[in-house]
This record gives sequence, structure tokens and C-alpha cells, in this order.
Amino acid sequence: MTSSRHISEFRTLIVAFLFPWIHLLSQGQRRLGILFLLFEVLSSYVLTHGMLRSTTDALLAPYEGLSILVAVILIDIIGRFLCVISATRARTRSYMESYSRIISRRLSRDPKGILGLLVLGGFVFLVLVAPLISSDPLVMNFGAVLQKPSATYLLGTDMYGRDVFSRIVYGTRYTLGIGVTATVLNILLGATLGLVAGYFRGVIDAILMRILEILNSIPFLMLAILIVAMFGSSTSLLIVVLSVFVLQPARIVRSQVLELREKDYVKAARAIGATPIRIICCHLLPNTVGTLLVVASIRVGQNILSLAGLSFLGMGITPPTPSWGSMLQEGRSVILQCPWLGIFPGMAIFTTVLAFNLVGDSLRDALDPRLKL
Amino acid sequence: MQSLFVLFVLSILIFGILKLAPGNIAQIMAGIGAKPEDIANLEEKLGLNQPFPVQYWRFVHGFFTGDLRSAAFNDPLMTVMSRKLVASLELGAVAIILSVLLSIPAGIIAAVKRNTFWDYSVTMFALAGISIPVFWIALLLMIIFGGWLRVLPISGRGADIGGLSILTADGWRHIIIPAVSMALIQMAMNARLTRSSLLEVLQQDYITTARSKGISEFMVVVRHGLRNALIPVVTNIGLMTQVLFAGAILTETVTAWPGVGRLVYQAIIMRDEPLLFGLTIVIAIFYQLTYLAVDLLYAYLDPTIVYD
Repeated sequence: MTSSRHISEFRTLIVAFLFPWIHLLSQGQRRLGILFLLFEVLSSYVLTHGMLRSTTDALLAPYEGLSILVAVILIDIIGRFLCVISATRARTRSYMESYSRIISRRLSRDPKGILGLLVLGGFVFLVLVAPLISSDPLVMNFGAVLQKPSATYLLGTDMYGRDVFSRIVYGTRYTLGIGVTATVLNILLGATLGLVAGYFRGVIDAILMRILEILNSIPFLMLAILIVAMFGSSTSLLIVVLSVFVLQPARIVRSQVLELREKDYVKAARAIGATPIRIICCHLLPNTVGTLLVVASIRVGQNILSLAGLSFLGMGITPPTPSWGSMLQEGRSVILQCPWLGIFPGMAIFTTVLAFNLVGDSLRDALDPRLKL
Repeated sequence: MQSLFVLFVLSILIFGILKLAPGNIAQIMAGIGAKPEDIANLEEKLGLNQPFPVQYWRFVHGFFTGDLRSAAFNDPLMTVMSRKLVASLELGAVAIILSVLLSIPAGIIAAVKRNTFWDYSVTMFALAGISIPVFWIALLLMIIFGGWLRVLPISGRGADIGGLSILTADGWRHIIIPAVSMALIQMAMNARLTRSSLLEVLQQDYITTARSKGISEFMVVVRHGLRNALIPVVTNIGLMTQVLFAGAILTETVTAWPGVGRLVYQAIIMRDEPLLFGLTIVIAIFYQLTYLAVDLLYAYLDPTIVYD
């Protein structure tokens, strides 16, 4: 069987989709690659600041600035697909068939991943149609305080008479937004550090390992709470804390690179005089992409858990902005009388994190069942 | 040596965060509307107007001589921390014993009966366990056992004898909710790890040899498989102790268990710099000790590992 070849080609396509700039750079299209990289940085900035302004105005006018967001996302996705198409064009037709066959075979074999993707799709759908299906999550109604779940209030109301269902629906936006953004930054940082440290070793590697040791000698949550409490909670600070102070991806990538750099094809590339950047981008990174994908989907779940924990302690997203963690915190004092305030927001956290873990699990099974993460 | 280096850098990092944070602590502690001279007095008393290296030295020196006092409780650090340390160790021990006792058999069953109903239930349970927020489990247990069934107290630590609440029946009733909610999550991770590690070992050649010798399947799994499969599990249990003893901030806060985790949270809220500094060092020392213990256990379980 030539399955290993298929997998490496499958990986090339994943690289083209996930890291288009690397694909472009490796194809010798430097300007386009750098342009795309700049666009990525810019769009992640726009996404975080457009979608996650934790002011109440942004919530009350949910579609303000939406056209920019849609434009950015559309350009991004179109660019990615163009890269994938250009990557597939370079191959033969039989390869295309095997690629789709591999995908469909793996997906049909593993219902876990589909289930996870469906749940996540449902949540994304909720984010998009939030204003249509739910009422204002901030409006207080002291005539309907602590109502039980009913036809009017699907999941009941909290102590200010706010609709729990609406708050959960709007909470999705912040949870997914911060969780995904932090993970993307975290993976970018971790992959870069891991690749550089693993390839060059020496001083850079030693420094990275010391930093890892230091971060591993106190609980992450303690450091996170400390920083957020000392410097004041804000969306950008939360994203920075969740992305910079977790370096597991760097460790995993590094250990993989240490193995890969001894392979013959890397030695060959070095022998013909390839620059370190080229070796890292074209030979090492594509081989770590599978691992990165698995790590990323697991990290999103972990980030959502950390974010919920921080909000639960009053250190995350500031009230009255709805977030699942702070909803649990607010309901805690009356939880025995009004269990719905404790059950539903937690259920939302649990379902989302489980969905990400399901996807991560099935991705791992599809890419490399022996991978231990 | 390395551990000392880690402790040193970490202490500087924490000190840096505490000192770089905006806001004047003396002002916060004196309250709104305090007179400027009161604030100045307080600054003098806390040593806040000294240069940073001097303050840092005061913290380190005070920590090791036991002179450093908590700013909020106004007691020496050891007085504040000792009872909380006992409470945390107690809770952690119960949770760890619970999770190890249940997770290793569950992982073994899942691995031995691979691809059966039992395997799928353990795998799904494990996946659910790593996806659940720990404070939510505690809340659910409170709703079920404290609210509906009214059989368990929902917060606090209850009566104790000599600082240990597991010696009293009331203390046991109090420890169940926090211990179970922490144990569930660790159990999930550990069961998953036991399963995958045992599955890998059972595919080795020497297991085939053992089977062909005609030993019972039970002995094959327990004597030949488990000893090797448990090596990564032991590492995980070592890491578990860290999370349970020192990092139980969420569980201890939600169940009002008076342990180190809750103290960390209180110290951060009250911005008690000396206490936070001391807690960080204590927790970091504890972490380094667990790493050492794991390394030693590792060498014991796997004779091929030799440390210089």
C-alpha cells in the first residue's frame, strides 16, 4: 500500500488550508505568502476586537460591524481554498481520488468526530442566529425573577429576571471567540517555539525548557488568576494569558522535531544547502501539522474550561456580559432553590468542551492512532 | 540545583507581577477616604517605600526565617498556612485514593475487554470526565445531595480532631462532595491512560510468550502486563497530586473547603502580597518534590532507567 504517501499528501493539503502562507512560501511565492501572513495577523485582530468587545453596546447591537467581519472571514476562506486548489493542481488526478477516499473512509468509520462537529456546528449556528431566536440577554425584568423553565422562559430566569436561554446563547459568542482565538495564537506561538528550539537546539532549546519548567511548577490557574486580578480583566488580557502561559504545544512539537530532524530527508535537504527556514517550513512543519491539529482541538476545550473557571471566580469576562462561568457564579447563592441556574450554563460548557474533545480524539485516531497526547 | 533555579526565577516572576501591578496597596488597605499620613504610615510599616531589591530580600529572608507576616491576617505566614495545608492534603489524599482505586481497575477492564460494551463505556466516561468543569460537578453534587436528597452538607469542613476532619463522621460527610468532584476528573484521565498504556504493553512479544507458556490470562495481565503498563500511570498520579493538593482553587472555593486553593484565591482577592509570595514558594517546592518522587518511582519501576 502507498498509504503513507497519501497521508503525506493529505498533510500538504492540510498545510495549504491551515497555514496558507507557509504553502505559498514553500512554493516560492514569497510576496503572496508574506501578504497572506499580514492579512492573517490583521484579521485575527479584527476578529478579536470586532466580535469580543466586552462592552454592553456591542451586545445590544450585535450586527454592528458585521459586514467587516463577514468580509474578513470570506476573504480568508477564499484565500485558503485557492491555496488548496493550487496545491491539488500540482498533483495527479488519481491522487485527488485517493484523498477524498481517505477522508470519507475515515469519517464514516468514526462517528465520534461527526457528532462533535455537529454539536460545534450547532453552537456556531446559535452564535449566528442569536438575535433571532433569543431576547435581549441584558434586559432585567424584576417582575419575573427566578422563574422556573417554561414556554416563555425556555430555561428559566435569573435573580434579575434575565432570560437564561438568551444569556447562554449570547455566552456562546464569547466562549467560542476567546477559546478559539487564544488557541490559534497559542498554537502559532507553540509551533514556532517548538520548531525553532527543536531544530536549532542549543541555547534556544535550553531557554525554552527552563521556561517550561518554571511554568510547570505552579498551577496554571493560579498564575492566570493572579495576572488577571492584578492587571484587571479584559478580553485581550484573557486571550494573552490563555495563549502565552500554556506551552504544552511547544513541548510536543519540540519532541517531534527532535525526532524528525534526524531523518534522511532532512539531512538530504541540509546537504543540498537548504536554508534552516526552508527546512523548517517545508520539511518539519508539514510533518507536525497532524499533531498540531489534535493538540489544537484539545486546547480549545481546555481553554474554554479555564475561561469558565476564571469567570466563575469573577476574574474572567466582566458582568453583565453573559458568560457561562459567571452565570454559574451568579446563580450559586440560590442554587438549591433554583437548580436550573446551576444546571444549564454548566451543561453548555460541558457540551462544547466534549465536542472539541470528540473532534480531537477522532482526528488523532485518523492521523496517527499511536499518538499519545 | 535545577529546582533551586526554578524556585528562584519563579519567586522573581511572582514578585514582579505583584510589584508591577497597578494600584497602591497601602491605599487599598487603608480604605477609601484614608488620610495621606495614614497611607504613608502603612507604606512605612509594610516596607513599600523601599527599593524593589530590598523588598524582595525582605520577602525571601522573612519567608525562610518565618518572620514574614500576612498583610491581611496579620499573622506569621506559617500560622496562616499550616491549617490550610493540612486541610488540602487531607482532601487531596481522599480524592487521590478514590480516583486511583477506581480508575486503574476501570482502565484494565477497558483494555482487556477491548471493543466491548465495557470498553466503550469507560472510554466515553473518560472523555466526558476530561470535558467537565470541576466546579460544575461540585455544584451538581450540591444540588443533588444537598438540595434534593438533603443528605450531605454543601459547604465547609465540619468537625475535626486535631486538625483532621476525616477522623469524625461529620468531617466525612463534608469531605464527600469536594473529594468526589475532584476525583471524578482525575479518574477519567487516569483510566484513559491506564487503558492506552496497557493496550500497548499487551501487544508486546513477551506477553505472547507468557500466554504460550500457558499461564492464566489473569496472571498475564496482572504480572506481566500491569507492571510495565503502570509506568506512565505512576507519572500521571504524581502530576495528579500536584493538581489535587495545590491547584484545587476552583473546588475549594465552590465548596468552601478551607484549604490552600481557597487561601490562594482569598490572598489574590485581598491582594495580600507576602501571603501570595509565600504560598507560591510553598506550592512550587511541593511541585518540585513531586517531580523528584516521580523520578525516583520511575527508576524503581523501570530498572533500565539510570540517573546519574
